[in-house]
Amino acid sequence: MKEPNLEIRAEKRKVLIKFLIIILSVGVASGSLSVILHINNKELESAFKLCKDWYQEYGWHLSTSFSAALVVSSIYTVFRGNSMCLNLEEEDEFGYEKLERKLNTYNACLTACMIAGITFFLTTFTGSRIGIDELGVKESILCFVLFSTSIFICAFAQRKLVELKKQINPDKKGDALSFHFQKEWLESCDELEKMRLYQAAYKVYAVTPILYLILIVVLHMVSFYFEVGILPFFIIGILWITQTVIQVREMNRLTGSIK
Amino acid sequence: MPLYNCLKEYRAKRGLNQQELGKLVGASRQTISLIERGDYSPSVTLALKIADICEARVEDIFQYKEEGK
Repeated sequence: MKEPNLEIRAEKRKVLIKFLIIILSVGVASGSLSVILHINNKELESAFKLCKDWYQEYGWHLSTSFSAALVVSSIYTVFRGNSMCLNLEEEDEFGYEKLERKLNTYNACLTACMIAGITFFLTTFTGSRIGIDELGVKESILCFVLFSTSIFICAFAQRKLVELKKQINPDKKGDALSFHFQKEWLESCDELEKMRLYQAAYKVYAVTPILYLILIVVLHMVSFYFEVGILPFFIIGILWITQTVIQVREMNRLTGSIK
Repeated sequence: MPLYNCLKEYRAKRGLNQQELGKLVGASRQTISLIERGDYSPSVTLALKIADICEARVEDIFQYKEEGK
């Protein structure tokens, strides 16, 4: 009876040692990075200021260029997806899977581009620098019109990609522009598709705390040398807590009510 | 999980394609395809539905074989 306990204890010891090594390594790496930042404080500060000034000067160019690129990529993905659907042979099993993966990738790319576009646009017109006065009215209107157009076109492109997915999966339901889309789509998924969605969601849940931790540590180190304010820390904290609370609430709700 | 099946033969006997079988059992065409390839083991409910449609027993369509046996 004792042998399994010894094995378990040995395994726990190994895990603990590994954990301590990782913590120490991260501590040493962070300390080293802090030293590097401190030594090169002046150079980093001037480089940071240069980047900030450059972005304030040319940020709106980035925003408009990104918006234009988003419009082009939205139109391209729709035409490409449409063409792939038309060329799909009915009996080609692997073709269906390949097409579905492509459509998922296109959708993800468009979402990432939309988020980046929103980020560029909002940072161009932040409260700390009143964009319209500094940019000029014409440039501001151009920036705004291009941004709004790109967001609308991107949203409709994503809707079209969802429609294409519904073409290859006729049992799927939901309009991508509807507020109930996620719920309707999930309800129309079969057991395998639900399992995939849940596994993918769990992966996100598992990875994001690591990302939050890295962001907090990096922001903390950078805050010794550059002004980052307290808002980023609060935002990360709120996101992290919200994610954890939602996960625990859902687990408790589902416990004992397996569907 | 090493779950072997001869779903493709039973499906062919019934004259159904993957899409049609999927519709009858409440699964997508891709799920049926993955089951036939052995890349996905269906739940008990789905396996029973498939057996019902194919007019066969679950054990006739799906066999569990441990690795090495």
